[in-house]
Amino acid sequence: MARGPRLRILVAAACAAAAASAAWALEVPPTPKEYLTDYAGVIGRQQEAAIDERLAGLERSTGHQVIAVFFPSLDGEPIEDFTIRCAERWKVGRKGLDDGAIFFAFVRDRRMRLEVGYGLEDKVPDAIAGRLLDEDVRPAFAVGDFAGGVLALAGALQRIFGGEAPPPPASHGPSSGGIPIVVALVILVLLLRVMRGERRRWGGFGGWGGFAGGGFSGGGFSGGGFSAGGGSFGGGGASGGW
Amino acid sequence: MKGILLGCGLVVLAVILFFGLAIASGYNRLVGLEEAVKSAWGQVENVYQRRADLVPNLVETVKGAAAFEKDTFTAVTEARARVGQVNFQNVPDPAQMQRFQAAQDGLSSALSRLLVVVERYPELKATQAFRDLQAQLEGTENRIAVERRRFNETAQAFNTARRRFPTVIVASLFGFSEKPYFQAAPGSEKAPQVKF
Repeated sequence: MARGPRLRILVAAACAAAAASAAWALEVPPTPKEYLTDYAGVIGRQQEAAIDERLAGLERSTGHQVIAVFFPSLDGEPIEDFTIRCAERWKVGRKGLDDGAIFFAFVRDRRMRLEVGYGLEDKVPDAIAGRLLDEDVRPAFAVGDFAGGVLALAGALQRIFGGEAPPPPASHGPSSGGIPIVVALVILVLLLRVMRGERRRWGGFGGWGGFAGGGFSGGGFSGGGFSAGGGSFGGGGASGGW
Repeated sequence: MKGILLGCGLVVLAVILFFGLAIASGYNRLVGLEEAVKSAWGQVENVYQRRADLVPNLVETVKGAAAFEKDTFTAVTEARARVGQVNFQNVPDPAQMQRFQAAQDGLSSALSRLLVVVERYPELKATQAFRDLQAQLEGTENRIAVERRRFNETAQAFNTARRRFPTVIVASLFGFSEKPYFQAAPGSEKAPQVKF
């Protein structure tokens, strides 16, 4: 009699294990807390601090969040599949502006990718991203200077973002003018619903289903460390090797 | 007597109210999910359009260095024209989806043949103009893969909700039809690798 449950537990465990191994070869790590995260252990302490400082400075002066992450290996997974999963999870860049970028390097595969957020795609189109990897990062990586490669990338990005004044941060919390906008939105939504309802032979029932998300989280301007602002990515950027 | 009637009336009212609310919430849920599918479809069209927009430039660039490969250019241009004919404002039904995918896959394979041709012209491959185009094409194929996956995810969320029990009644009542998926045709699910 005791066999039933035990068997069931075994089967469940086997299924779970199979599902876990089938799901993703490479686990997406939690959102980085620093501008540079080195899972591969290829960058020295001091250089790490220098890169952190450089990328933090980039965010302070341009508003664009750029982070770099080093992994030991891809474990055979296609690079773009893994990096877009990371980008979707981490949400680097400001919410609404989607102006983040993430540099990935997989040391043992000698592969790298710059994942560019939606809002940066016109400043850093794929061709430019490809050139940055080719011309700024690769020479340094080829001689084993990983920190130098990231610093060169940061410098190149700084030049591209250039002397522009930092764009105003995405609305910080509700201001005094917030309520009328909300009211206007509600009225607009109700109107749209009613108009749609006519097409669908269904009047009046304005719903609230559309109000997903919301909540403003400003950019990561906290002192020290990195905090993602909620930007989204659509697979822009470029991949390369060294 | 009057009291019993009143009671019955209240019960009936409560039942009607209950069903009304159930229908309304099911309806609103479907509307929300359908909007998500629509916006995901918009993104899919965007990225495919982006690829189509790259084609003339790509053909021009390659033509300059490899003028003899006329057939390949014609194939790409024709496939590009066919893609232009299958644009839908709304989320397509399954038959339209099949046509859309057939046209896009046609362009994919014409493009990969073009890139195979380029292999024979190393001096073309070395130019900055071509390398930029190649990066754009790779990036676009990658975006297509991303948006297709996202579309399938939202379509799946919609279809699942649509087939659940109380909602399925609402769905058939208001004509919410099932959304088609992008099928992973053998070898086409992965973005064609434009590696050299």
